[in-house]
Amino acid sequence: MNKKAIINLVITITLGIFFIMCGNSKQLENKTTNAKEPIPNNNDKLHNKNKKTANKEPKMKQEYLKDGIMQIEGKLRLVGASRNARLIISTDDELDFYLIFKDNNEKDTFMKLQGKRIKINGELQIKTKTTADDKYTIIENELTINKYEIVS
Amino acid sequence: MINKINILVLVLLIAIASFFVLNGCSSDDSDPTPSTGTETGTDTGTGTNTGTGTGTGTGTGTGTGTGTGTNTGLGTETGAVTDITDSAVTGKYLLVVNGSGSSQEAAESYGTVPAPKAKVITKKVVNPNKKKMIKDRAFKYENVKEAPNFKKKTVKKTLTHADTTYTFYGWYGDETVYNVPATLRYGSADSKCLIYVENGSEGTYDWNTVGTAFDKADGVYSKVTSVYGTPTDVDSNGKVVILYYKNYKSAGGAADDSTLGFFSSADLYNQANSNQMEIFYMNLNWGSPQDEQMMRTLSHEFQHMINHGQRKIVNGKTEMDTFLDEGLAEFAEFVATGSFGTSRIDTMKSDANSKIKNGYPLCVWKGQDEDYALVYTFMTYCWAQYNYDKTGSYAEYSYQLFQDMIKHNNGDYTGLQSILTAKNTSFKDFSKIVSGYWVANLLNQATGIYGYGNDQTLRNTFNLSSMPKVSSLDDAKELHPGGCITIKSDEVSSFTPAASIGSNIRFVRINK
Repeated sequence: MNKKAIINLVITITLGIFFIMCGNSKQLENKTTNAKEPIPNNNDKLHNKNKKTANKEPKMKQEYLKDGIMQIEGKLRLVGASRNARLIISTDDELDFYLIFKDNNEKDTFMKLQGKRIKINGELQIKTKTTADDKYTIIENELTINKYEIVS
Repeated sequence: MINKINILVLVLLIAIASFFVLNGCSSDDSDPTPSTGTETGTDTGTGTNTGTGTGTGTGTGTGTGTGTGTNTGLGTETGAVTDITDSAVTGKYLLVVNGSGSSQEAAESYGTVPAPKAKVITKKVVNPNKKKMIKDRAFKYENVKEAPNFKKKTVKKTLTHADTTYTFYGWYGDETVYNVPATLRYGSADSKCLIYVENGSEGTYDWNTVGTAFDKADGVYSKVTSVYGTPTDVDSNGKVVILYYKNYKSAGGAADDSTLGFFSSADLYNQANSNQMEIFYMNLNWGSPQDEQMMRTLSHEFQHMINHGQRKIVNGKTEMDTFLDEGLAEFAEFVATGSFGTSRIDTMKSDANSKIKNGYPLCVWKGQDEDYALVYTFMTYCWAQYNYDKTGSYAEYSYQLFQDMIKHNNGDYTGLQSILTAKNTSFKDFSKIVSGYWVANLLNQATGIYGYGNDQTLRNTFNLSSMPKVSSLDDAKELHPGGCITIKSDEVSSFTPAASIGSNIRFVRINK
């Protein structure tokens, strides 16, 4: 092996190492950029392509469920655009339970309790909704009320 | 041989050096550079995180405000009385405010207060023939009845401008689903909206003007999305469908002439009786599509669509409290048109049903004209106070408050509280924001928290000094969240709060 060949080899290897490291560096840079991205631009079709974003999985505390009956405590809120609004219980661990009413009288009763902290004993149904394009899955915890108690 | 070994050692050293240099460079890159962008809002507390923060998500931002408010108390403690002197106001006043934002229907006692001695100010009814202006109406998507001749249909997933006719699902007030055959009146391959009109309701309206107002570069779509974010695109057409209808009947069978329009989030989902697209509805029974209020309502309903899509669908957050969602929707009308409008302000000034002056609650949504008037003026007040440090025209005010509200983890008043108290440190908590709002409606001061910002035009527009102020006290002596009563009497000078009052009750005394 002559000197020229060796020098060429050294340059090739060095450049190879350099480009490999640059590639790694670029990956790290991309990762950081994504982490800083404040909000997905859902109008960007590429961004959402084949992506399903679920909201928070209902990680039920064990103590919520007793003999197949849910027992939760949280704040009663009216949410969403007017007249299409729904009453929910938001628990301290940030789970939302959409209340299902047996009739209008029961709904009226709860409308008057908005903002109250309430304990509810009821039957849970975990409902999965998908957007019309099947890209997003929304998990809704629905609760039919058996008993309730105003805490504060 | 020695030369070869030297060369190999050199290669090794270069490789190692390259590794450390590049690794070092990578580390630098992973260290987030302070950004002027918005933080993404995991902050759930009551005020260390700012809208203009430099953090990258968990909120370590630096507050820029030192506050120009002159008050020092404003009753952040139960039973506290904040005293304000304002020589521009004649007489002595006591404002009693329920400072809770919990949309809590249950009222809180404010105890014994001086009886109003002054004559009740004669109501000046502004625009007495004003029609009811309800936006949004109830919709049920399950267990609905079917109208005679109703036909279930396969929902077309992607409407385009080539679909010149289409039959939508619609609902009567008694929760009967019916078919709404409609014809395309505006839309093109490039347009942001498709306007359909229920057959037989076309009239002689200029649909191109309506569509252009939505589509143009500085139109509804562009301006509203720049503040609140983009809508979902569940039907993959990149367009918003607007359906103008007329044949809707209320539960009693009468035509509905009090609803301007509505949005239903159920239309975004794959479920029974859903139109499965980005759609909102406009009511031709209320008025012409080119009527100013109808045009403003386009932005209102569009905000609801974006709000639900961004919060619940895209970012998996809890939905926003109704009174805040409606407040953002009302403000979207200003965002899109650049006009504050007069109707909601007239409702405040007239208080034709004497509800507002007697404690009608800001934070408990009842869906009446008064609710819309309150949330609109309140949201404008919050916007002005968020921009308290601006000295120029309101046209230069930032909309960051609303962007942060859409992104905030908390969908209730604590989200707004967190954002606004961090930006404007004159506010300690939500009760102070609500109290400041009510005092601003009375005093409308040029600077500080007792007015609608530093801009004279803004202050003139939201000058509610003609609003009936003196309340009629009822026997219950209770206030719901966000409600306020005003007592004008010399006896307020010696007023001290009763011992047993609700924990959210605050008192502000003017000219003790």
